[in-house]
Amino acid sequence: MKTDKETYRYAASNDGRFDEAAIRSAWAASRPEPSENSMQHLRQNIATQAALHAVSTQKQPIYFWRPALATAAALVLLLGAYTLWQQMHPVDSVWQQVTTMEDEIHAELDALETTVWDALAELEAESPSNDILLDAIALQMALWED
Amino acid sequence: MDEADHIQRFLQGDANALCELVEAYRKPLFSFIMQLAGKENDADEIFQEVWLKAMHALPRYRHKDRFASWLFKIAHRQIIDRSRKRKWLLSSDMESDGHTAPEATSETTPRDVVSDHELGSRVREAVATLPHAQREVFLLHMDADLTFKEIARIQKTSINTALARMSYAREKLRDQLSSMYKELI
Repeated sequence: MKTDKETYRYAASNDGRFDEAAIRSAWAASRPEPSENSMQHLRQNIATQAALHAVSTQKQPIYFWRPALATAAALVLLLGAYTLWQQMHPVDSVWQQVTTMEDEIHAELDALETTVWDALAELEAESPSNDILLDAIALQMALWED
Repeated sequence: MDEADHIQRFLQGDANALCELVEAYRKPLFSFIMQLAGKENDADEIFQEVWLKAMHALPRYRHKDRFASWLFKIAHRQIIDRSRKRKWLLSSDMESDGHTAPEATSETTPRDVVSDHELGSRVREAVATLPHAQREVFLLHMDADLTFKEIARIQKTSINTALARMSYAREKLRDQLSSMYKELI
């Protein structure tokens, strides 16, 4: 263990050395300390903060519910949004309209076909000599019907 | 001391665990703050603030850095914040490694210097004359026992700069202690 004077000699030596261990030792011995009042205040703060940490640790299981709650809320929102979208875009009624239109078109085609056959029958009755033309028209109608 | 265990216990609500950590760092941390802040009242307040910040930040502490390095980094920032508010430190002193250090204010005689248990306080006075950046490197090395890599990270500089600052600090301290010693012989 060096004395203070020896430490000085090492510290002040001109050979480039700096007796850090000795200086460190002297340094550590002369360290100031915070006031006891300050330490007391800090201990109180620590106790408060530790209590808060303890409470937050106990409440920790609630975090496991959070994803479940978030998922449920998201599902409800999605369902609501889908319902709203459905009301704004009524797919069923559109399909119904399409089906009705299709039925109407078929009915009109049937009526047209009947009219054509009737007209042909009438033409045949009036002009029996146009057999070839009538056969051609009948054949065309049959093809069209297919 | 198993710091990780102490931190874990504190986070589970054990106040004594952190009190033991505070006790372990009581002198080194306060010494570091005191030497940079200069005033005891300010040092007391900063000491409190550092631990309060540490307490709030501990849940996010991931043990990537050593606890000492992490704690002294908080102290470093707190001192800078406070110095900006109170304008303790001139910006040039903060940024440069200026070679012109102010004169020591000690009025003690050389005889007092060598009296027992006085060396530390004489060194302390000599350190107080160092420019801020050099003083901080010296203190982080002596008080916190940090490596130069850790010091460089705290000061946001290169390891070489941190080493150079320590070298300048040593040189100046040697000069000051040498002149005191020569008066004795």
